[in-house]
Amino acid sequence: MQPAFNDYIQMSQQVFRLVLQATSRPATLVKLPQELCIETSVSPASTALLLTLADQDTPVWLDPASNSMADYLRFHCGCPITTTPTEAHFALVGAPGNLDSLNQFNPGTDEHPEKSTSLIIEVDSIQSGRGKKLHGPGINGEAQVYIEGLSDSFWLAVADQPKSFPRGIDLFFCCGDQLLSIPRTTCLEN
Amino acid sequence: MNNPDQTEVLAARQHWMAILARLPAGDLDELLQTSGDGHEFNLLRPAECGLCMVRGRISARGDAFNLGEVSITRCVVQLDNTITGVAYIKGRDKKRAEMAARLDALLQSGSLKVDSLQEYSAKLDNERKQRTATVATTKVDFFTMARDR
Repeated sequence: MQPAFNDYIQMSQQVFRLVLQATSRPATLVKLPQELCIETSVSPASTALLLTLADQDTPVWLDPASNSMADYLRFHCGCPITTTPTEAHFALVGAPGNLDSLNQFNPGTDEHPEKSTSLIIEVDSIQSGRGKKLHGPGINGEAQVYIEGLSDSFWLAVADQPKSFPRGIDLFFCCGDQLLSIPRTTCLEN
Repeated sequence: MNNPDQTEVLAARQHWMAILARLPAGDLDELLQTSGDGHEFNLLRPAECGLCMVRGRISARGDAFNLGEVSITRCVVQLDNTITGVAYIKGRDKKRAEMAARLDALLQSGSLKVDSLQEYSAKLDNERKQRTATVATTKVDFFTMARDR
């Protein structure tokens, strides 16, 4: 098994700051510094995200492609691994091609929108500056992102999200040491 | 986990982990020296301190109550990328926790024989006996006399 952060408190706080930056400025690429990158069977960005955010109160769901992380997460985060996506506070998706909707995850309720599932998606490449057009809180005017390997029906589901606000799924896209977030508040133009 | 072989292995490990958790740093160091070098250790979980609530029951009966908190230090190492050694010790001595975790891994791998703990555990038993004997002299038996109405 691989180790986690060697200075857990300091390093997880640094990652937390980066996650805040990513969610408050949607469609902005955030790069993890080298010392926060840990080698596991998934990308350093997803690993850092889960090490920072997952604990015994947040069930995590893993898709078959990322299932090899189960022991690692159980050991280092102490989080329960669930087989039911609707129960999960975090879901790690290693094979984004299979993702064709967001229905299987928990969007929270109108009273408790924070109980929703946050989706961590491993993708092959992320580029900002071209591709899908985004606007909404935290975006000055309009932003563009190009994310590889996701189906059209997935993007349709993302575009539908603002309708059910405050319910919704927050998305994190991870590629190597890069992180980009599309929270539920962001509108996508198809 | 429930087959008899496993239970035996588990019981043996619990036994030596309990000894390792009580040994002073000097003894742990000595044991590490005897088991030889040439092993590679990875720190899976570097030693970290925390608090643990100890609960008790009066005379092992009655309702559980919080006796108080103790500091606990835990550490997990991996020996030659295969065997995981774990230690939980009372106190805040990180070095001791790490040494105990290394020894747990070495004992599991067989590089260190359980018999080599014998001498040390005897020492611990002796100390415990002496301490209980000293404490026993201060024991008071309370009794209540029936009062007249």
